[in-house]
Parts: sequence; C-alpha cells; structure tokens
Amino acid sequence: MARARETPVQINLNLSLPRDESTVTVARHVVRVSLCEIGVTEDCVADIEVALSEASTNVLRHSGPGDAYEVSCEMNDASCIIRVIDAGRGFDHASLGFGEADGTAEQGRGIQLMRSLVDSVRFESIPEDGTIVHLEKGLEFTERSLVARSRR
Amino acid sequence: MLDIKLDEGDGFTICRPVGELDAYTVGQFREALGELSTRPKLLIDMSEVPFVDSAGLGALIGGIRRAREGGGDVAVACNRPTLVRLLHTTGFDRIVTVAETVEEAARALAQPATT
Repeated sequence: MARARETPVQINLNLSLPRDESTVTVARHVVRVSLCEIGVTEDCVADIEVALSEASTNVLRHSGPGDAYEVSCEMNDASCIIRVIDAGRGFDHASLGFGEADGTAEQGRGIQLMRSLVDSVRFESIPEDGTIVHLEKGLEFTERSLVARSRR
Repeated sequence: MLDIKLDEGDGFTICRPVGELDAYTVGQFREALGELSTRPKLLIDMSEVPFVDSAGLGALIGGIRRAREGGGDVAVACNRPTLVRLLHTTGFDRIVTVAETVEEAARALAQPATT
C-alpha cells in the first residue's frame, strides 16, 4: 500500500486536570504513550517525561488557588511542544530556584533538571492571570519507527 | 502507587521501592528512608522504579544524607538505563555508589568506608 509520505505525523493532546498531585502521573503517562507510539527513542521519552513532571509539579505548588490546570502537547516528526497552563494567580518565577542546587540539597533542582533535559524551558507569568510553562524538545526516533522509515 | 519492600541481606538492609517516584508518592519513600536511617549499611535498590523526578531524587539524597549522618553507609543499585542516565546527569553518582546489580552494590557496602 502506498503511503502518503507528504503527510507528517501530528498528534495534539489537550488535558484538563483537577489540581491534585496524582494527576501529574496521568499527564505523564498520556504523553509517554503517545511519544512511544510514534517511535520516539526511550531516552528522549524519558527526558520529556521528567521535564513534564517537573513543570506540572511546579505549577501545582507555586500557583493557585483554582480548580484545574491544563496540559497541552503537540508532537510531530520534528519536535514536541508542551504547555502546562495554570489559571491561578501566577507565580514569581524568579523565586523558583533558578540557581544551582547544592549537590546534597533535597529541593530546588526541578528547574535545573528541566533545563538539562529539554531544549527550551520558558515561563510566562501574568500576575492575577495565570502561568504557562513552555517546554520544547527536538525528537529522536528509533530506526524502525514510522517517522524514520518515511524519511528514507 | 508506590510499594516499599524491605529485606535483610548479609549484613545490610535492602530498601526496594516498587513504582513511580514523583511528588505524589515521594512522602512514603521519604518516610521509609527516615525509618532506615539508623541502619549501619543500607542498600537502596531502584531497579523496580520506572520513573523518578526531582522530588524522588530529593528524597533519595535526603535519605542518604541522614543515614550517613548517623554513621551509616549507603549504596544504590539500579539496572534501568534511563534512571542510570538521570543519576549521571544530575551528578548523583558522584555522591553515592550507583551499581548495576544488588550484588555489586552489596560489595561496595562490604568495603570499609572511605571517608
């Protein structure tokens, strides 16, 4: 069967989740399954999964009150863009520990970790309005994935 | 959900979390490590943890620090490539021995402490 090679893979996900720490797992799993389905390498999936977990946890910790938050994720044959959106009061991202965590500190390495795992981390915070954490990473695909095969 | 299995090895205690370690499950892990902080030799086997984020790493580091403060020795075993990579990225493997197998980690604990 001939494949429509000009049509790239594109998956768009929109999750609206209650503000409960247990939903961080939900977002992570949904994104993982989608990335695996299109053949993204395990290392690349793992990096995105940790970055998403950090972003969601940060949003839940530093913002609110509010009933829900949203995770949107767009993935295609080149990159994955994730936005964690909180409609709470926004947070002062300068206070989120951009500095280096000391090696044995128990907290404060979340943002540092996000930055080391994905290509771009951006915070948008509008006081009284909300917070968006943007994550972006170029995707790597396994040899046998649909994307890698259609590139040949 | 996280499950924590405890086991006694030859002269050391094995703590084996089973499940994902994030902000949601970390409290349980932190508590377990707190209770084990008085053990002279503690082996933390992360081989059944498919996911760890900074919350999990923080609990792990805190547990190791408390055990050492009490004069104990700690080693970590992990055979998951993605987690081993994360432990390396974060410099965690410079703080504590991270071995691929429980046997190897146990050997590291059997050696006299270097500090």
